[in-house]
Amino acid sequence: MADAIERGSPVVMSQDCLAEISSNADERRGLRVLIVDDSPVMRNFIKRVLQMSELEITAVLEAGDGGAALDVLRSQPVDLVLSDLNMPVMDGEEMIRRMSDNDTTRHIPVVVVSTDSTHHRMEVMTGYGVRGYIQKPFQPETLRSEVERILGAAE
Amino acid sequence: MSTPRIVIEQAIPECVAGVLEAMFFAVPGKLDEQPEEGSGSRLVGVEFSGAPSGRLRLWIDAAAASALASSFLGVEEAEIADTDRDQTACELGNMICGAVVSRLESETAIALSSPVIGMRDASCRESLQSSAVCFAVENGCLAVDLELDGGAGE
Repeated sequence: MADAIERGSPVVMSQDCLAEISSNADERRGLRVLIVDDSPVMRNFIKRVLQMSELEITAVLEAGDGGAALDVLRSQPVDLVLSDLNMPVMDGEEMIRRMSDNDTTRHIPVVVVSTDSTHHRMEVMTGYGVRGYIQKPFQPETLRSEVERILGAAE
Repeated sequence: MSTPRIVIEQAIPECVAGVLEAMFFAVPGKLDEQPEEGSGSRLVGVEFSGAPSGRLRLWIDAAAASALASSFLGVEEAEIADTDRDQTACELGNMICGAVVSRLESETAIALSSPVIGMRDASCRESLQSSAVCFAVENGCLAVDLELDGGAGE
């Protein structure tokens, strides 16, 4: 088929082939976001903000700490991570450090959503390649815009 | 440069208002007296460590906890469970503490512990210092105080 395209010849594809291409396109179009926060109500709030987004977010995954988040990232494709920093078991900073050290996760954009906005902390996060930083409390519109900025650029 | 105590006293009302308005779509009013009612109330504690270190305490009555949980979760108050009130109160304490602590000039990172419910059905007067700042919110009340270790800033 590649040769035919190169020659400029018309390419006729079977219905099965067309169906497979269409299915793959549908899967690629949907975005998957992972929310990492030890507060169930905060995860719920962020999920509701994502539902207001104009982006086609087809899956919202959740984790209660950094370790659980890394387990999700090892087993499922994720397009964006929204993460708190202060969490038990494994905090957000350690999770982000491990993501940046791993070939399969370092490309996944991370937005920190945390009460901690000290200059020191933000510098550390920038060093790990964090793409955005939102301080709690935040206007829902702020989070929605940031998610759209990052995921919209990735599409 | 203002001492930490002065910064905290100025920050608490502003931070409580900022958190409630942004995340809970509620506008608090300042109360001059500590509320008495204890049934269904919760006392949330958030420790912070660094320079300085200390703890924030948030007392919230049942009415305020229900109303704020309803708003935060986007469901009717009749659907709110006790766990929802607990978790919402904890998150509220966490955000207020983070906002106040962020106002303190610190050369090192200040870490917040996970918020915990320390007491239930207690009166505000028993649970908090006399310096606690009290607010009317929705149909209920909440109060906040913040204590620094070692009497820092006194």
